[in-house]
This record gives sequence, C-alpha cells and structure tokens, in this order.
Amino acid sequence: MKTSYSLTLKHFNGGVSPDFIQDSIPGVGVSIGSSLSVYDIHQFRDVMDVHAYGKINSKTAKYNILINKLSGTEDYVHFDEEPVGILTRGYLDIGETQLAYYLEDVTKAMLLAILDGNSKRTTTVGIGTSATKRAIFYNTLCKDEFKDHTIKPWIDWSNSVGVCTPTSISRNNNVAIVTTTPAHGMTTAYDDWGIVMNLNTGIATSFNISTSTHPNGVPVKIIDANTFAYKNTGINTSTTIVTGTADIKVGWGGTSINLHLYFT
Amino acid sequence: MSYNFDWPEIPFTGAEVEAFVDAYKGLAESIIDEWDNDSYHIYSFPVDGSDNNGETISTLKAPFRKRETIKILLEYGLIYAAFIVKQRVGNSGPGTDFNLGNSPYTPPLTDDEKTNLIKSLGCIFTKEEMEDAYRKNNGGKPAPFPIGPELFDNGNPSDDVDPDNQQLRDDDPPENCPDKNARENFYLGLANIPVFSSCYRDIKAKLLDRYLSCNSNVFTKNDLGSKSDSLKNGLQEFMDNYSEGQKQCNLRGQCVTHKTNITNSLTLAQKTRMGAGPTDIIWQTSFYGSAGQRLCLHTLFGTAIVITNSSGTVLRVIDDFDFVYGNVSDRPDISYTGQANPGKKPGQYFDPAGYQLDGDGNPVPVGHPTAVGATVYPPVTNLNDLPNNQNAWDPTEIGRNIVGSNYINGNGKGQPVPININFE
Repeated sequence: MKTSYSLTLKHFNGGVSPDFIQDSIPGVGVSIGSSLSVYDIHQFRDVMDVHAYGKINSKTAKYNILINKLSGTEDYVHFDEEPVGILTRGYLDIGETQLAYYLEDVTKAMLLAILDGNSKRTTTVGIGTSATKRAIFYNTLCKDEFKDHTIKPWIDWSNSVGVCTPTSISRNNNVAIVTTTPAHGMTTAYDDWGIVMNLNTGIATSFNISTSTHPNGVPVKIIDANTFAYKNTGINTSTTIVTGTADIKVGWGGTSINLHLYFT
Repeated sequence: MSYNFDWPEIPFTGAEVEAFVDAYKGLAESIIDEWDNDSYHIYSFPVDGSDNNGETISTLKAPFRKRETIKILLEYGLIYAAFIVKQRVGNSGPGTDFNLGNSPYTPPLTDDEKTNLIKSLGCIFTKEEMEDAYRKNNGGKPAPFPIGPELFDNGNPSDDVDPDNQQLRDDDPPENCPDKNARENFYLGLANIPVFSSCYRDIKAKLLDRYLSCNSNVFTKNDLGSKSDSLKNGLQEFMDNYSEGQKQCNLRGQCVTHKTNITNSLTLAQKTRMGAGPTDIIWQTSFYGSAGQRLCLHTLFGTAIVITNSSGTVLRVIDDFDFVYGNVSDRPDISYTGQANPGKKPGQYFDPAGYQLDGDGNPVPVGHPTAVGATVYPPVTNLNDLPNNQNAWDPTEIGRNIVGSNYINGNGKGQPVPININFE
C-alpha cells in the first residue's frame, strides 16, 4: 500500500486541508522542539448525512472499466503497490481525498449497523443477527436504485425530531442567524443538530435548504434558546421578518467528534 | 487468501467502548467471512426489468465491491467509530480531554510514513533542494535512496465519475464533430454582446455552442454566470403565475398545459435520480404560453421539468437542449432528463419512418394521436423543407437554420446538452 494511503487511513489529511482543518481550532499545528510533533484533527466531512460517495477518479475509472471487461470483475479501488513510473499517480490511483471519503462511508455504515435504534446519540449495541446488521451495512453503501427504504438507514435517518418557527433571519458573511418564537427547543447538551429551513416568500426563500441536496439538513450552531446559526451562501441581508417553519434534524455531531491526532 | 484482520489498538476505554469494539470486530469479520454468501446484497438484476444480457449488476457503489478493499476500510474505520462512541458516553479519560499533547490517538508511523508526513508539511521539497540538503547534512555524501517530490496530490473529486455510467463503458469511438464554421462562430459571438444577449440569447448561444461542439457536459448553475438569479426569478414568476393543470388555448381550440404535477407518477428511485427530496414537487412545464414567452423561457427550454419545494419555491430545472430539426436526446425515461451523457437520435423531422403534423404544425410520429390528416411526410433532406429557418433577422431562426443545416449537411452533427440547474 502506498504510504500516502496508509497516512490517509490513519486520518492524517496533511495536504488535503478540509474545511474543518482550515477552520482551525486549537490543537492543530506543528511544533518543533526536541522532536517534530504534528497535531491534526479528523472528523466526518459530512456531519449530517449518510449517503456514500460512489465515484472514482476519472482516469482510474476508465482504465478499470477496460480491465474489468477483460477480467469479468467490478473492482475499482485497489491498494496494490503501483509499479514505479508508468502507473504512479495514474491508472490505479485511488486519490487520498477519495480514500478518506470511502473510509468515512464504511465507518458510518458500521455505526449504523451496530448501534441501537436509528444509531443517533446512542452507545448501546443493538440486538439482531449478524445477517440483519450486514444488510444494514450493505444498504448504506448501495446505489440509490437498490436502497431498501424499509430498513436502516433510509427508513428513518432523515426523520425530523421537531419543528420550530423562525420569525426573523439575517445573513452576514454567508452565515445565517435565525430567531425563533417560541424557543427552538434545541438543547446545548448536544452539538449534532441540523435544520431544514422552509421559509415562505420573497428573499426569505433564499435561506431555504433543499432536502434534495441535504436530506438531513445542514448543521447549526446554537446561540441561545431562541437563536441559532448555519452556513448559508448569499448576499448580506439585514434582519428580516419571516414566516415559515424549520424542521429540526439530528446528525453525527460537531466539535465533540473531532478526533485529535498526535504524530511524533 | 487470508482475511485475518490486523486490528489497531484502541486508545479509549470504558464498558460501552469495549462492547462496541467487540461488536464492531464481530460484524466486520462476519462481513468478510460471509461476503460470498451475501452476494444477493452485492449483485442484482437491473431494476428496469431488462435482462442486461443475462448478467447481474453490482448493487453496491463502485468503491465498495471488493472484499479486500472493504476489509482494509473496516480495519481502519474502527478507531474513529470507537471514538464516536467514547464521546457519546461522555465520561472522562482519553477521548474527551483535548489538551494539546494529550491527544487521544497517537498513530504509530512507519519510516516511510514519517518521511511522507514531513514532506507533506510543506518543506521545500524539490529534488534538487532535497539532495543539496542531504549532502550538506551528511558530509557531501549522496542520499542512499532516490529523492524526489512525492507529495500527496489529494486526488481531485471534481473529476470523479461513476464508472457504472453506461456512456463511459461504451467502446464506440467518439463521433466525428467538425469544427464550427465562420458563420456559426459569428452568430455565437454576437449573442453574447449586450443588446443581442437579452432574453437569454447568450445562454442559448452557450448551449448551442456545446450542441455544435458535440460537448454533452451537463449545463449547470455555474454556466449561467450572472443570469442565474434572473432565470430563477423568471421560473418562479412562471410557476407562481399558473395553477396546477391550468391551460391556455388559442382560437382553434389548441391548448398547452402550463404546469402539470407529475410527482406521483414517478418512483422513489426516479425522484432521487432527478434530485428531488421526499417533499419536493416535480412539474412538467410548457413555456409555450403567454407568460413563458414574456419571460423568454419558451425558446430557451420549450418544455422542461421544474422541481419546487412543497411551498412552491423553485429549486431546480432540468431539460435536454435538443431539437426536432436536429438531434434529440434518447433517454430510458423522463427521470434521466438532464443527466450526464445522453444518448441521441434524429429529431422528428429526420425520423427514418417519416412524420405527420399536429394541429399546430409540429411534427409528430406517424400515427400519433395528435396527428391531423393522413399526410405522411418523408424525412427531411433539404434545408428548405424545415419551417421557419430562413429569417436572417431573427436570432432564433438563425439558430434553427444552423441546427438544421448541420444535421442535413454535417453528417447528422449535433449533440443534445443536458441542462440540470440546481438553484440551491
């Protein structure tokens, strides 16, 4: 296996610089004392959803389509050592970013298969046979047209856990601030809340979240009992009175699931 | 081949974590051991009922079909999965204390990994600099192994593809696509100049450019540039202007239905393919009416599929930019509209079986219920037989002339362009 792959699998994202590292929080960095120490953070790239990434980098895909036709297989991800030169960063390449995506998808599939209920917030190992759990594992990683919507995760992952009523909203530097009346009901005891905004008219609709692209909403940051924020690209907008609703969702978690790594 | 796992040490403790880790390892081993027996989870027959030449197809997404790959991902996935459980438990100890230097996870690194890690930190890592540095630090001796930059390239997900896409799998060489001529390039350039570019002519010119260049890349919101808001607002105004099923008829009693709710006629898989969420509404629209024409949507789309949320907010518009007087897209069903890599077939005027005309003078297949009279017209072979294509002052008809001319004189040239504009 390529060294960069094994580093990726150990959650080191060095050059990848995903958003959560760019939005650096204390604990990420490099220190050089008597030895070189590197701190890094790993977290799911998608903290709300469970859809597996199904794509392969284009050059590798095309090459493997040809190979697969000859060999009668359907494999696209190979950890085999690449011959030096011809195939380096070429036809058998997985891509470190993509590999991190695949690892995340399998990790989520296992959490969904093992943990009780809808697998959110719980630490309890669910009852059920291995076959039942394997079915959930496969169901998480399958193509859209083969998803079984009668079992986890598709049966309930995107279910709302409540509804709140936004009464005003504003946007500054692509962050939306929402005020609700009455209180939104999302407790700060958890940091895994998400939201699907569904505002009614005019400019307010530019704050809405499409469930076609975010079926389980987008993560929010709780400000207080009546106020929360979420990332929302758009023009700066002063506080505006709005009508509509917002579905409250639960995902995987925010900063509480930042896995801090220490390389030395 | 052995599938024994090489499980990592788990640096977190606690009853819940230990129970989870045991369950994780047990399930992972079960997945790998039963891989062959679970093949019904991994392979199936096509959902569209075709026999796929008697071959099964993979139900799992492309990266997850190989047992060896899954084994490796399962092995490395354990740490983070266990960490999430540890965090949920919320008790003290490694996994909850994030003081710098007290990280919960210290991955062991091999020498190669250390080397790569240092390189990845952004040191000056040209081959020459590295060799110079090595010699300087080692009494002028050359490095005992080849030195060269081998930094992560990190892949580029924007270039990623779904290898199950049929177009990628076809063996056919790309079709001949002659360069556009001077007249075509002049027209396409003209449409981008203000005054001429109004009424989405610049957008239509971009689409026509792709059609004539045999470029079937999906036309997205990014391709709209500054016209994105205008188009969304136009579509929103159109959708707000009409009620479901509302029709507009002319004096001859010929009618168009402005918008028809087709959501319930589609399966979940079809809706998913179209990018519609569970509460979204899918509309078949026709812009051949007063509002559609006023908003300049009729010559851009003609007809299209518009997806709104349950409140009626326009979320997405999908269509295939094609021509009955050129090539039209060839799709398995309506849910594939706007998807990448459309097939193509001759437009109605060039149907080898000929065509008839409906009450509006539009070509329809022979025997179609809307056909008027008994006249069956042969496939068009002369540009003059295509209606409304010779007005040198009307950009729309210049476009028709170009498209028709390319089909007749350009060996059937013209590639339908998928339009899939997500306004979110």
